[in-house]
Amino acid sequence: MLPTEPIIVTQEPDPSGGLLTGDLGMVVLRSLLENGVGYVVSSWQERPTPIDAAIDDARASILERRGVVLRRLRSLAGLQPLVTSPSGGVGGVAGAAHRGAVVFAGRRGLRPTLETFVRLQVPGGVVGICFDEEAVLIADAIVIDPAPTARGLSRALDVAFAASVATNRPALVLVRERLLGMRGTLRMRPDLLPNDAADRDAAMPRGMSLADAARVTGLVHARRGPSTTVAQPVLVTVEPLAHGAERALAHLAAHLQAAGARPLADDVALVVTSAPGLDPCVGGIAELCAAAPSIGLLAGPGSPLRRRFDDAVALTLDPGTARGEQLEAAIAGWLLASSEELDDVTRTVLETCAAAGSNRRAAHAARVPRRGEVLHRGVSPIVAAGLTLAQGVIGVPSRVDDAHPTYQTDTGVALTIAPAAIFVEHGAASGAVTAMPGVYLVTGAAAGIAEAAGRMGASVEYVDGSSPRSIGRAIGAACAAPRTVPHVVIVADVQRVAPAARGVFGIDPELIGTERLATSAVPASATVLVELGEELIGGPSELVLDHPAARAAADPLRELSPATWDLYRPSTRPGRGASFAWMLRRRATKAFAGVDL
Amino acid sequence: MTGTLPTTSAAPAAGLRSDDLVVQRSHATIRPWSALVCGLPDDRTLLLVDWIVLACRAAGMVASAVPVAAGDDSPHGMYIEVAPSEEVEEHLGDLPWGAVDLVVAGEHLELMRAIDAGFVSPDLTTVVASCRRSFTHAERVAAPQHVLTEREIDAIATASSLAYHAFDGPEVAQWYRLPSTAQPGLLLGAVCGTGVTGLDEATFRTAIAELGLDARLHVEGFRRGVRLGRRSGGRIRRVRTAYQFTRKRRAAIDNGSRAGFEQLVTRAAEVVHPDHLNALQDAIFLLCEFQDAAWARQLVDHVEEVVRVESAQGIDPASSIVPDVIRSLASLLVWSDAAWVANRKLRSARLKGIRAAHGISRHDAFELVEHIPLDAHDRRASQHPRLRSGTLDPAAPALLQPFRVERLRTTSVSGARRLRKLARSAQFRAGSPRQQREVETVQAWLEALHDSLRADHQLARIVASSGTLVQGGGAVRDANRATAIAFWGRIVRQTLAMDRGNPAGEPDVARHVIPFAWEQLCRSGPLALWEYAAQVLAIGLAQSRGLAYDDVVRMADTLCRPHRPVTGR
Repeated sequence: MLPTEPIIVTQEPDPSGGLLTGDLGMVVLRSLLENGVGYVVSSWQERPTPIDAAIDDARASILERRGVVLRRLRSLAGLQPLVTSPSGGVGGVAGAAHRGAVVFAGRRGLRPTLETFVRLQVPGGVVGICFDEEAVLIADAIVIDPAPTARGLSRALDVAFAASVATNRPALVLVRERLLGMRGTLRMRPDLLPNDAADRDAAMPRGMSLADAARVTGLVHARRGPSTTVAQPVLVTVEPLAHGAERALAHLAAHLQAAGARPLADDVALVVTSAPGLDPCVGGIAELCAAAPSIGLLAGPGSPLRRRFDDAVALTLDPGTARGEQLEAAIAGWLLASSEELDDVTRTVLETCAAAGSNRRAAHAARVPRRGEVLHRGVSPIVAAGLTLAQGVIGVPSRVDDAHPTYQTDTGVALTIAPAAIFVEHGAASGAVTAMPGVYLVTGAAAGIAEAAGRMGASVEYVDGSSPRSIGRAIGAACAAPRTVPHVVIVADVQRVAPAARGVFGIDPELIGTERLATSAVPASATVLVELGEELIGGPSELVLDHPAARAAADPLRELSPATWDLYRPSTRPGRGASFAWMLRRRATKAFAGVDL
Repeated sequence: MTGTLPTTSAAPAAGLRSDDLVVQRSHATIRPWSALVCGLPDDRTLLLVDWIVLACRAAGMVASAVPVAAGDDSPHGMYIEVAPSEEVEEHLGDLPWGAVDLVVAGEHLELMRAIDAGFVSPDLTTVVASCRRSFTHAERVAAPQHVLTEREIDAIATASSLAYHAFDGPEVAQWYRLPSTAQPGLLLGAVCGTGVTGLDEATFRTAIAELGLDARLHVEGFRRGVRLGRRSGGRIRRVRTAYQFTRKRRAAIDNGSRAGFEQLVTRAAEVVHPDHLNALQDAIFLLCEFQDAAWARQLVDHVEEVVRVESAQGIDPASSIVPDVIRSLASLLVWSDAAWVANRKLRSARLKGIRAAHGISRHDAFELVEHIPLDAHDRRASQHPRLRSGTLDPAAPALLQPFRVERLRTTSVSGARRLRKLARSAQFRAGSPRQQREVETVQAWLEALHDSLRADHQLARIVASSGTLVQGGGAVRDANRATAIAFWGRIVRQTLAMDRGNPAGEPDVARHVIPFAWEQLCRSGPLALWEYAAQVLAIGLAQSRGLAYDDVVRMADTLCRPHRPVTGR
C-alpha cells in the first residue's frame, strides 16, 4: 500500500539520517542498498512476493543507477552457479565478489531447497530471504528469525550479510506472517555501492566457523543483569521475544523494588539468539550458562533451541501470538520456581505477577462470541422450531430422567425425541419407562422405523421435515389428550426445490423483529443479521435474502410469519394502453381503498 | 502525560513512577506511546496505520506497526508503537503489552474484544470507534436478546476507557453525503480531534496526501471527523426534541388519541432519564398507533413504577434497566394480529421504501403480493362481533386451528380494501379475550420483574430483557409466550422463592440459576428449559421437604454446570 518509488526518490537527496517509512518490501530494499548488494535474484515462481514488487518498482530509478544487477531465474538449478561464481553474475568485476540477495517465494515445501542453499560455498556475502517457516528448523546454518519490526528486519539483514561474509556460506532471513504485514519507520544510513562493499568484504577475515561467526557478528549476544551477582540465572530467548523479555525483567525488578524487596529480576542474564539453529553457548556465553544456577528457555513451541537446552525450564510462548503480560507472568513463574530462598514479600510479588497473565473474563465476556464458535444442538433448527411451536399446546415439557430423551408434557402425555437409528434398534425402550403409551418423535433417516413402530403397536404419522409448523402441529395434536396407544411421528427428510423465480422475494423487517422461530425454516446461508437501529428492537433482526435457498423454504416461512411479500414487474416495457390502465388502477386504489401506491 | 504523545521526556513503563528506576533501566522501562487499530477490513486497517505512521514521521518520530495475531477472542488489527525520542527507537517492540494509549475500532464487537483482551484501561486509553455492528455466525444462532447491542457496548466502553468517542461510521458518512468508504478518514479525523496523538491537523492532512489513495475523499472525511472527535465524548447521535417527534408522527394517530399522545410524549421527558427518552417516545407512538393513548398510558405507568423503584435503590441511570423494560413492554403490548399486520403493510412509507429499493417510479406498474397467515382466532377477531358465527374457545390452541396463508395483492383495489378492512378491525380489539390474555402475560412479567428488582438489580436486568421473548403472531406467539412464562414462573420466581429461606437474605440460588438458565435459553433456544426447568422445580420440592439452604445452593451450583460442552469448533 505504501508507495515505494516516490518515497525512495524523494528521500534520496538525504539518504543519511532521514526517516524512511515503509512496509516489508521497502525496508528490505533499503537494507539491501545500505549493505551494498550487487545483484538480486528474484523469485522463480510465478507469483511475486512483496519484496519482488518493491524491487521491481525501484528497478529503473534506483537499482540500475547504482549498478545493481537484477536476475529472475526460471529454476533453482540456475541459482547455484550464479551465487558461487566469483563475479556473482555481475560482469566486469575483477578480484572482489559482490554481495547478493536471493528471494525465495513460496511458503511451504522449500526446506530441501533452502538446506541445499545454506550449505553452498560462496565467494561473497549472499543472503536469502524466505517465507517458509520450516527454514527455522535447519540445523548448523545461519537462519535468522528476526523481530517483526522494521528495525528488527534491517538489523537481521545487516547481521546476515556480516555472517555470510565471515563464514563463506549463505545466510537466510525468515519472513514470518507478522513481518509480512509490518509497517515501520527507519532512520536511513548512507548507501554502500556494490564495489565498495565487495572491497570491504575482501579485507575482512573469512572462513570462520559458525560458532565464531555467531559471536563476532552478534548473531548471539548476552547481557548480564545489573546485579553484581556472579552466577546469574540465565534466560535464553529468541530475537522476536527479546524486547519483550527485557521489558518483562525490568517490570518485575521495578515491581519488586516498589514493594521493598530485592530486585531479583536484576540478577537474570539474558541471552538472545537471532539464529535458533545455532548453538548460542559460545565464548563467554558458554561460561555464563555453565555457572548459571538455573536456565530458562523462552521460545516458541518446536524451537530448535529445545534440543540444546533440554534440561532448562521451558517457558513456551508463541512469538506470533504472545502478549507482554503473558511473557512477564511466565518469567515471574520461572523465577518463583527456580529461586529457593525467597522472602515472603518477593514471593507474593512474583505470585501476583505470575497470576496476572492468566485470562480474566469479565461478566459480559460470555456474550462476546469467539471466532469460529459453533453451537452444537441435539436436533436440527427446523425440528427445534417445531418442538417449540408445540409448546402452545403441550406447555414447556420437563425431562423425566437424565438417561432417556423423554419429556413430560403439561397434557400428561410423555414425549420422546429419538434419532431414527436409536429408535429402530430400541423401539419403545428408546424412551423412559414412563414414556408408554406416549408420543415418539423420530428424527433422521433409517430403514425400519415403521417396523419398529409396528412392533410396539403404535400408530404412525409422517410429517414434512422442512416445515416447523407441520412438526409442531403433529406433536401438538398427538399430545393434546391422553393416549391409549403410542404414536410415532416420523420427521421425513424433505429437500425442497426453489420454484422458478418470477418476481422479487422480500421481507418486512419490523414485522419479523427479533423473532427467530419463523426464520428457522430458512437455511442460514440465505439469511443475514442486521441491526435495524430502532430503539424498540433489542437485538439484531434476521432478514431473509432473495436467494434460491430462501425461495425453497418460502412456504414453511409464510406459515409462520406475515412479513414476506413478492414483488412482480412486467418483463416488457408497457405500451400506452397498459400505462393508462396502471394509472387508472392506482387512482382507483387510492380512491376506494385509501392506499397510495 | 497520558493522552498525548510524549514529546519531551520518555515515559516510564506502566506502573513505574520512580525517576530513579527510569534512569537505572531506561533502555528497558521506557514505555513508548502505543495504539491499536482493529475491526476494519485489512486494507482500511492498513490505510489508517499508514496515515498514523506517516504522520508520526512527518513530526520526526519513529513508529512501528505489526499485525496483532488474533486468537479466538482477541481483536484483529495492528499494534503500533511510537518512539518520541531517538533513545526509545532502539526499543520499539512487537509484542502488544497491556493497555494502549489509543484504540481505533471500526466495528463494535472488535472493540469489545479489545476491551476483554486488556488493551483498554480507564487510566490510559482513549477509544475512537465506529459503532456499527457486523454479526458473527455464533450470534446468528443465539437469541437476539443475548447479542451485545451497540448501547451495551457503549456503556462498557465508556466505563472501561479514559475517553470514548463513538459514532456510526456509515450513518455519519451519510449525514455528510460521503460514501461509506470514507470511514477511515472519519476515524482518523476523530483521532486527531481528540488530541490524543498530539499531532496537528496539517500533519495528518500531509500524511493523507502523501499516501495518495483516494486522498480527496479521505481529506473530506478527515475534516468531518475532526469535528466528531472534538466533542466531549460518548456516542454521537442526532438529537430530536419532543416537538420534532410529535410533529412528524401525530398525523399517523387517530384523532381521538392525538392529544393524549402529545401529553404522554411531554410526560415521558419527566419520567425517564434523557438517555432513555427516545426509546420511551418511540414506544408511546407505537402503542398509540396500535391501540390508543390510553393503551400507551399503561406502558408509561409501568415504566414510571420501575423508575421509582430504581430511584429508591439509588441505581445509576447508566446501568438502569429502563431501556430493557420499555422494549419488553413494547413487545408485550403490541401483538401481530391481523389488524396490526394489515396496518404495517399499508403504511405509505413502506410502499415508498419498496418502490425506491427496486427503482419503481409512480408511473411503473408493479404487483405487490402479501402473504399473511391467519388462523381461526385471527379471522374471527377481524370480524364485527355481531357477524361472528359459531363458537371458538379463546383458550383453544392456535396451532391446532385451521389456518391458511392469505395472498393479498396490495396493488389491486380488492386486495387493498381487504387490507384496509383487516386494519380497521383493530377497533374490536379492546376488551377481547385475546387482549385479556396479553394483559395477563404482562402481569406475569411485571410480577417476576418486581420480585427480581427487590432481590438483585442484575437479575432484574435479565427479567427485564426476557419480556421481548414474547413475539410473533398466532401459534408462534403462543409458543414464545409458553417459553417466557416458564422462564418467569419455573426459573425466576421459583428460585427467588427458594432464596426466601436464606437466613442472610441474599438471593444466592437465584444468582446461580437465573443467569445460567437465561444463557442456556439464549444460546440453545427454548428447548433449554425442557432440560433445566424440572430440575429447578425438584430442588424447590426438596427444600420444601426440609433440605438445608446451604445444600440447596450446592445443588443449584451443580445444576448450573452444563452436562455437555455447548460450544466447540
